[in-house]
Amino acid sequence: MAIRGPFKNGFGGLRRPGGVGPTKPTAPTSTSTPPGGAAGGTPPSTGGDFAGKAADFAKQVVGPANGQALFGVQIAAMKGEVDVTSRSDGAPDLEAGQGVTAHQIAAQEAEIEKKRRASKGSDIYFYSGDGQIKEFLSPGRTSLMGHSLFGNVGLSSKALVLGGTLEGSAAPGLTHAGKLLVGGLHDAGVAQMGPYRGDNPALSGKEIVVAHKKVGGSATVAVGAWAGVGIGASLQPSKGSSVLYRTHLDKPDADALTEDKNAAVGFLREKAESVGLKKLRLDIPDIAKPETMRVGDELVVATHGGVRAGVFAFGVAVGVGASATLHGEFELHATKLDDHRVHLTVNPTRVRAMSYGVNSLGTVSLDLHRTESKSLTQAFVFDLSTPSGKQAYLDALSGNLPHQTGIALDKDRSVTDLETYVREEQLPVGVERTYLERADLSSRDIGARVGIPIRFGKNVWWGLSGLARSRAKVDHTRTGTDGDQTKRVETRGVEDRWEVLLSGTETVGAFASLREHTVIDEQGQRTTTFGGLDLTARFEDDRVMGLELNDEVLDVINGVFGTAIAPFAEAGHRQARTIEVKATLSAADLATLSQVAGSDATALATAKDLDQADLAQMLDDVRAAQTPADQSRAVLGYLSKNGIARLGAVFALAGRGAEELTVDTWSTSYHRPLDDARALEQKYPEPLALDAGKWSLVRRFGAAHTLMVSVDRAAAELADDPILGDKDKADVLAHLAQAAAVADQVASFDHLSPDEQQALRTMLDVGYTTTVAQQVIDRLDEAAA
Amino acid sequence: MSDPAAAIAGVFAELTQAMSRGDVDAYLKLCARDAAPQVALFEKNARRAQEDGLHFVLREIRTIGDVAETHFDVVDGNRVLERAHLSLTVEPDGWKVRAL
Repeated sequence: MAIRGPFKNGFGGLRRPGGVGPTKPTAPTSTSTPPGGAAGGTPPSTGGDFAGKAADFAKQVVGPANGQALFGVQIAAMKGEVDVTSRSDGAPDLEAGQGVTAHQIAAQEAEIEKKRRASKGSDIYFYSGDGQIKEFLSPGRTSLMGHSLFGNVGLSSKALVLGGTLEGSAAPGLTHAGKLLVGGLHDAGVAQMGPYRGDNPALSGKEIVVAHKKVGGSATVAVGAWAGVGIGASLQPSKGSSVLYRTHLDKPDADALTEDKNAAVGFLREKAESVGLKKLRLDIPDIAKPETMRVGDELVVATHGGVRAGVFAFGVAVGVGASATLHGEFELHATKLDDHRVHLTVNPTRVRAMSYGVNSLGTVSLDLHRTESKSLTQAFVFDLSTPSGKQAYLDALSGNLPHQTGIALDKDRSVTDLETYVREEQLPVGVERTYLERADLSSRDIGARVGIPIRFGKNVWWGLSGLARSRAKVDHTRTGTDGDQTKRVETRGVEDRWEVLLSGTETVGAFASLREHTVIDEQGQRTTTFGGLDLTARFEDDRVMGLELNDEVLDVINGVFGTAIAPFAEAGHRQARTIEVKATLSAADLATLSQVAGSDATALATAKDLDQADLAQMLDDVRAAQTPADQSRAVLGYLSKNGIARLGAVFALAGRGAEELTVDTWSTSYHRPLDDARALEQKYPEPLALDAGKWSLVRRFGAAHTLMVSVDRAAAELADDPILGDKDKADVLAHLAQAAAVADQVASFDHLSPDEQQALRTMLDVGYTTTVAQQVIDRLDEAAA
Repeated sequence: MSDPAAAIAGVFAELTQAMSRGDVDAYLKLCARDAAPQVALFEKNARRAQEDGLHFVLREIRTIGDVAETHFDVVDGNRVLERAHLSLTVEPDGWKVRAL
């Protein structure tokens, strides 16, 4: 989870005041001064803060642009406070929430300090969120050649960061500083993913096992100078690679690979594997030796690298900055089809981004990002039993494809060019192309953010993102062809996002996709048919509170699309919820749209508070268009602002009724119990045994109890869900029943003899008795009676 | 987005203080509103804590979505007797005790 609070990445950073350098420029800070002093109207001060501020501000204004794969590791360290934040927006490199966040450290330290004061002891505890264990170490500080040197080390369960800040004074009143941070990431693990459910008879009854390994590193170099106002520059190169291996094993073999009788041993083994101290339990085949892969195995090997460069300037109250990012990725995806054939996709991707930012007093910021990405996926089947097929496969691993003349990521080619290349290519014996796909994405994102400073503990400040608002416009085109037929999808959309303290992140997106299908005959004649214009309105809320969906989503849908969805009656528990409204316009619908009378359009625009001129212009464009595809493009252009309302207007003017809409929803409440049940089933495959001990048994009962709580809650929310139909509800209920059965099975003591049940009761009813232990005691008493 | 660790640790501290005093009213204020208060169980543990001189030391907080477990040592003097845990959930008024 990337922390975007103003004090995290803004002036001052999340630091304790009081870092002492030999040449403090101005205004010494006290423990009561807000971070960096900036919020209090004084210039940022303290030696350590300066370089940190420079680097952090550079990071803020050059931060990863909208949804693109970038990797950054940050350390912010002062007197025992270390912050390692890894982020990879949209990329598979890192999982959300990984790493130690400054918030957690701040919270931990505040609590530890409180506990120390209360008990005069020295307690420390770890915080683990959503399965991630996080740790931290302390840095040190010394002097070097008359300069202050701050050394930092940060450690999370998967990343190690080393850093240093060197600061000195060239002349009275002029401070210069440099900061170097180097971060390394190593992550590896093996997981059992449940039974194979595909249609390959050879894999039926097998368990899916996935192993992954990731290695990466990045560095931040920042330099700056301060004399009333400051200037600086930063450079952030990064590089990494990852391997994902998916195989299918008999259940006993899969269980043996992924289970540990002793939870502590298993935990340590996982951690040792994660950081590379211990060899991974499952050997990952070499993609260059496909003969070592089993039939059905998949191997995804990716390498990536990039560089981000930025410049920035700041005064007492305002800072500005700009940055450019170039990022590249090369991915190979091999699937063993049978003993001799391998399907391989080769996918290079390139991302270019520009970012601009303005930050005032560390609490208000404006950001603008512009991103373009291109990718080119080429897929082939290689028959490795032929020498030419085997050689072509090995060549393809390094990017030398069997036929690539004229087809390259950097060359813009028309659809017909791509088709011609594929149709005319001469492939070696043993090589067969499956498809070629080109994807181009561009996005523009503009946002504003206001932060709230909160004091936490004696010296620790916590920067919260109080309110943020952004809008992203997306333009995405995908073209896939095998030479005989081509599918093309053009998507445009606009997404509005709000981040509100305590309410989480809410997004509203409106998207339209034009689908076309082209068939090419043997003479090369192209026949293109219109596939439809898909309209999608998507509402997402990552933290639903109470009944907020009623006015924020359902009222909007009912108002825009004329539906009559009943409101939620019961306040839902916190959950992430997505609601989608979908419709597809046919050529006939677009013809209807083209015949809309101007008076009807005006009336609708007035009723829905839409811009009349824009609506009239769209309808004129639709009328002027000669084909449904061109009519669709006129609609795509119309959705670039006020997307949801305009989407509803297009739907209504096309003559479609609310009953023709598809409304669907997805909630973590419904899906999490079954995921938790699968994990529980793997953790406790055997009936409980007394020799496990009280702690282990209580944990087992507790895990089953927690699962039952989430099942019951989900069932209650499902009953109140006004969106899902009876069939969907029945499906979810079936999943919840499966989860409940697992909970019952894990908590069952029916297999124990009466004497053993009595021994269990005695064991549970000593010391501290948990709720779950008490429930088991009550159940045991009932059974005995 | 607020970080849950400190809030959860705070609730734990208040709960263990209530337990050491046998303060049922303080305990009830920490409970989730839609969960039946476990007064009898609270009193049972409070009584043992007072009679045996037990205290509770927070060791770990685990969160999965809106559910949290606090794992703590049950300590008699300097001797750790056992490890136990209790469950909390996010309620409209913050993290609350759902199960002792």
